[in-house]
Amino acid sequence: MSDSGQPPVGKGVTGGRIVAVMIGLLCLLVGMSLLIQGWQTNDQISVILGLFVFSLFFSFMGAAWRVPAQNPIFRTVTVAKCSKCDYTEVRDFQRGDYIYKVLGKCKECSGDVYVKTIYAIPLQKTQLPAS
Amino acid sequence: MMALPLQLFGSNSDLGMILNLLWIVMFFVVMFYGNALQVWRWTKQIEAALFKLNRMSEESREILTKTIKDLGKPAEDPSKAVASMLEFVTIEPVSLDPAGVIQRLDHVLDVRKSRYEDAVARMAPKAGKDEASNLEGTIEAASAVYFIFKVVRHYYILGKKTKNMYVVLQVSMQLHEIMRIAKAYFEALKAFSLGKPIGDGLGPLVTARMLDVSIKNGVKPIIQEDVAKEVTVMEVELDGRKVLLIRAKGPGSRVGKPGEAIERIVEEHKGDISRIIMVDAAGKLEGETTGDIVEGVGAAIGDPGPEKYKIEEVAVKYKIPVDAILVKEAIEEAVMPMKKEITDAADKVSERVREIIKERTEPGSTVIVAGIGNTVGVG
Repeated sequence: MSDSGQPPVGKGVTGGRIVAVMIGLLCLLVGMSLLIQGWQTNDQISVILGLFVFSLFFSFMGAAWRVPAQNPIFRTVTVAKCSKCDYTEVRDFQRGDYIYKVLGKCKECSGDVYVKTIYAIPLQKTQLPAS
Repeated sequence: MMALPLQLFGSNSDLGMILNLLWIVMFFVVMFYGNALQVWRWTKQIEAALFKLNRMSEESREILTKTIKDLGKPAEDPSKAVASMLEFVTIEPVSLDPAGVIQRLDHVLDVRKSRYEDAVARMAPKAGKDEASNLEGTIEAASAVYFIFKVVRHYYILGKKTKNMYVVLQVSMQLHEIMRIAKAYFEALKAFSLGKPIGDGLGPLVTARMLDVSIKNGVKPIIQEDVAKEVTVMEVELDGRKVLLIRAKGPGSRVGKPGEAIERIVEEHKGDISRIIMVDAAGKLEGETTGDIVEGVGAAIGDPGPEKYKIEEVAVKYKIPVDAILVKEAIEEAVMPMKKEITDAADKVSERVREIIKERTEPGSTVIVAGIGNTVGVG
């Protein structure tokens, strides 16, 4: 889980993951065959080779399940408030904004609208605005 | 079901024989060249990271140059001056003789600060005071990214040149942490160039919130500018106490010299200060939550030393208790744009400071509240 409590970006079925699972299953099959055959015929090389191929099953399955590390993408917002009434405005941060900057007069009560806070919120991939 | 793989890969089949042979060859290859293969793999990892670091460093340089051109409107191309500033070094004073090392370090840091100011004034003559401060912060962040790139490149080349696996191993083991820090500084650079508040701005934000509450309660603050370099002191009355709010001057990127300001104010009051309350961001451990508030004692300031020293000296001289209120943040969160959890924590901390003042000081006394941190984006 990411800091925001939302699932990490990049989860889901992808082509690469399907291939990894298939190779993993093949390794499982071949590894088990070699292991059993080596065990039955007392062939140590087949047993060791079987173990090696069998271990690849875990590597491929691990790779398929691993969630790739993602750099969180942040969007910075400016929250403006009126000093007299409850008027609040949330918009994207613009160069020149700073906390306690007076932005102008309130449309509703003509009090001063100032920047109450500025903060960054993490975005999910799907929330990215179209460029 | 097992018949086909057994036929194909069993030791009695031709393919099985080849595999067995291959296995024996692999055994000797791993035995004699195992380390070389491992080093090769680590080197490739470092190479990939170096590629990313180089791209980040180049992009940092471009952002910095563009910001200088946008804000400073220089007559000539600042690229050369930017390259020179990225290579700028600060040499720490000798500590073999520790007597006076703090004063010497303080002097070196003052000279460094003035060199940065001069460089920005030359590169960006039309930039306003706050914009110039933001440019200083941008240069520092770009220098940090470039420095990380240079150090990783150094160890990469050294490892390849000497074929020393331990040199390569050291970088490879720390690569994740190195990249995390580099990305944080890269984000910080963007924040400084645009003037966005960063996580380290928590301390100044708390004092700003306390000032706001006082003004809303009808208190007219007495503001003293430049009590120490780039530090403002705002005197307000809160619950019958005289509260001196100390912070660096915003909304440009400044940290100021809060230690010097506290020292001067305590001396001005001849030590008649009932308490010093310091608010700062503190590094959190993995597993701790961003925005958690913890309390303690001692000078809460993460400077290289001189400012902390001044606070401790004056506190000891007049036996003034020093309280610390810390807000937990990861190292990268301290230099990246401020998260919501941190702005929310600022409101809680300002409330808590008020409670502490009521609980631990007598009405009529004087209290210092110092908000430590970078004021970028905090007015």
